[in-house]
Order: sequence, then structure tokens, then C-alpha cells
Amino acid sequence: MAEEYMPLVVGRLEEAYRFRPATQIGLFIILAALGLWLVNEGAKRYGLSLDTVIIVMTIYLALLYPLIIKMRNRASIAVSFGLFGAALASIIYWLLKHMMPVASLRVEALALYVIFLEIVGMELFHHLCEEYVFYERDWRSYLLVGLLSAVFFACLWFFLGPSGCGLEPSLTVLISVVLTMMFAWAVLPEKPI
Amino acid sequence: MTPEAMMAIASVAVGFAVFFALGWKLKGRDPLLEKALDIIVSNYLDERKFTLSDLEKHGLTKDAAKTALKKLERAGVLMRMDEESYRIRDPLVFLTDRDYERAMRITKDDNILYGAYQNPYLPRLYLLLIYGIFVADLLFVLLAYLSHTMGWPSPAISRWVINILPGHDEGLLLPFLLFLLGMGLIFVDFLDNVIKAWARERYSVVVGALSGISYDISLADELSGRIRRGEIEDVDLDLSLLQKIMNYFKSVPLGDVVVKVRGKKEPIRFRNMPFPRELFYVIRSVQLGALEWRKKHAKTLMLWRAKSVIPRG
Repeated sequence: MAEEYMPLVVGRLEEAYRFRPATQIGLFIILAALGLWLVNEGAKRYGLSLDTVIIVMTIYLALLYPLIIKMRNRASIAVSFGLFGAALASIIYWLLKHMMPVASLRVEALALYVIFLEIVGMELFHHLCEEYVFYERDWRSYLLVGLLSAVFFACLWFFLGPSGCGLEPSLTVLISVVLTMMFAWAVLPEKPI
Repeated sequence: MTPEAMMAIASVAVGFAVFFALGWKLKGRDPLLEKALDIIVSNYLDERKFTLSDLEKHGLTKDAAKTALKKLERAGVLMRMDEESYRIRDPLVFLTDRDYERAMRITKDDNILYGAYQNPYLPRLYLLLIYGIFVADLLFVLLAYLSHTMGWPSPAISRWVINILPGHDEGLLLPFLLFLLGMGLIFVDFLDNVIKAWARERYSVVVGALSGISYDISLADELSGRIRRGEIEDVDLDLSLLQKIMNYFKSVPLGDVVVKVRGKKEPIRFRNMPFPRELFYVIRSVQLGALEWRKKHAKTLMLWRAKSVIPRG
């Protein structure tokens, strides 16, 4: 009798919990249009520039996509990667725009921007691409997280240390180590289950 | 159109194109991987283990077999026994290697059909900790930014933030607010990992072909909860409205599975089980003693499990 059940299971594995593909695409389009309308209204009301609207919309679509689209074919995965690239590029563009002129930028500010970029980049990667690159932790993920953590630690040192917030070196190291460990554990690939 | 807008469009378009191409290339069909999976399913489904040289006998080169096995191991389809040998992991087993071995030991090397962790308090903890903390962080950052740029709701918020910055430098306000936003994300992700680590390896539920259902009943338990095959009176799937809505959007679908046990008044409820429909079907087929579907649909189930390395379509 279980024979009667299993074709159903196999045929509809995972899909049984999700919206149908057409509904997923439809819902995504509706929510994207709603977001565009809201951002446009906000831009008119508060006088936001067109590039800000483009950046906000790109990030919104990148955040929305994996929540709604649960299909896993080559095209949908490639779009997921594409949205990661687009969101990351828009954030880098926005940061560079705010950092100009770089010569007048304090080292502490640069350190904070780098920390923000690392965190947002890794979180977007978690959100959009990770399961297709690192399903489980391996040497590549450890190497990547190790390098990012070293940069994160150095940036925290610049911000919190004697040249920045003026904390004692030992206290700076302590706080930086704790926050860096938190960062490393948070960005290491996690199995979804 | 302003030059800034054109620059923004160009950045977004280039970022999208580069990573789209990367994703397209990364997820292309891999005939060698598919061949390796075919060989494994057709020849070693019921074997305790198989080796690299077994795949070579079926026409794969050593390098191709090695790469394919590595990819399948990463996708959770195979489990490495030692340097040379591998074993097929049932597609519905989501346990860590350590817990899988523990489950096999405790069930006397039974054929484990389903294994996962129940998360008794997951949705409420998530809503309260994860989203609550992040929303609070986001609100604070937004208020501080608006307080600086528009003086709303009060300039005192941004003044207070600027006062704690090195040299009371206004130029550090935006990067510091972004830092706070980023650290909020990290803290939330960190908490997410703590909740997962706490739930994982604590409340395992294992369904074996002969041993029936084994489950942990407390934090320090070793699968002492048992429902033998003959004791299963009925099994029911119970998805609340919240679970149903969350399942549309979360990466792993969750639901409750209720098992009525012969001779016991109160049914046993497994809360927030991953892939609850599949657990329901597995328990039902264990109860009825009909497991032929496993062999019949092994390849489809494995392809589903290996979806991260072999996308469909």
C-alpha cells in the first residue's frame, strides 16, 4: 500500500510545500512591482536620486528572490547568482560614492566601510548562492572565512584601538577577537537543516 | 538621465552579467557526475560500502570518479567510511555524520530511512530573537540617520551617537551606523547558529526499517524514546497555519507529525520536523512493511538530495 504513496512523494518532493512555479513567478513580479511603486513614491516625496532608486530596488529584488522563488533549475540558480552580483556591485557603487573623496576619509571610517561590505557581501552570499557553492564546510570555505576574518579583525583594531576609539590595546584585542569569532561563526556555511 | 544613474545602471548590469555567467557555468550539466550517480544507484544501492576502484570498473577514470565522489559527498548523498570507501546515505537522512553513526549503532545497524532533528520551539524563538532583534537594530539605525539628516524624531539621537565616536567626528556617523547594521546582521546570524546548534544533536528522530521510530526525549538522551513497528497504531500529519505559511518562504519545510502508539493514551508529537510529509510516508510504509518504493525511486530521491550539485532542468 505504501507503493501508492511513494510516487506521490517522489513526484512532489519539496514542491508540495511550495507555491506552483507559475505562482512563484507571479508573486515575485507582483511584489517587485509593489516595491518599485513604493520606492518611486518615496523618491518623489523625499527627492531621492535615480541612482539611489536603482540601488534600493536591486537590493530589494536580491533579498526577495530566494524567499519567493524555490525552483532549482539552471536558469533560476544563475539568476540567483546574477542578483548577488548586482546587489554587491550596487552596494560597492553606493559606498564608493559616499567615500569620495577618499583622501579626506579617516582610516576608522574606511575600516567601518570595509567591515560593512564584508558582512553584507557574506550575508548576501548566504542568502543567494551559498547552498550551490558550499553545501558543507570544506577547506575552501575555511580559507575564505579565514581571510575575511583577518581583514575584519584588522579593521576592528583600527576602529577600536588607540588610533580610533582609544581603547587599551589588550581590551581592543579582546573585543576584536570576540567580535571576529562571532563574525567567523556567523558567515561559515551552515547546512539548512 | 544623470551620469550617476548611468553609472549605477552600469554597475548593476555588469555585476549581474558576471555572476549570472558564473552561476550558469557552475551549474551546467555534468555527464560524469550523472554517470557516477547512475553506477552507484544501479550497482551499490544495497551494498554496505563501495570504493573508488568499484567506479573505475564501470568505466570511469580515477580522476573523474574521485571528483564525482567528492561532489556527491559534499551534497550529502554519500558518506565517507574511510580513506577509500563510501556508503550511500539515505536521501531523507539529514543527521550529521556523528549522529548518523550513533543512530546506526543504537538501532543495531538498521537501515535508516529517515533521520532529522525536531525543533520544539523553533518558530517562536525565531520570531522573537532573530527578527525582533534585527528589526530593533534596523529601527535604531534608521532613527539615528533620520535624526541626523532631517532632525526627526529628535536631533538628540544622532548627537548622542556622534558623542561616542572617536573625535566626535560627524564624518564617522554614516560608516558607524552601517557598522551597527552589519553587526546586527552578524548577531542575528550568530543566534541562528546557536539555536541550530542547540536543537541539532539534541532532539534526533530516526526511523529504521526494522527498529521503528527512535527519538531523543531530553537534551542528554541517547535515542531512548522508542516506538516499535508493531506499536504504531496510526500516524498523522499536522501542519499549523503558521508552519504552512513559513514553508512557502523558508528553505526547509517544517511540520508536526503525530504518532498514535498502541496501549498509550496520549499520542507522541514530533514538532517542527523537516520534510514532515516524507516522514509521514516513511512511518506509514514502515508500519505497513512495504519498502519497495525505496529501490524503485532511489535515483529520483538521490537526484533530489543532490540538487545542489545537479540542478534539475
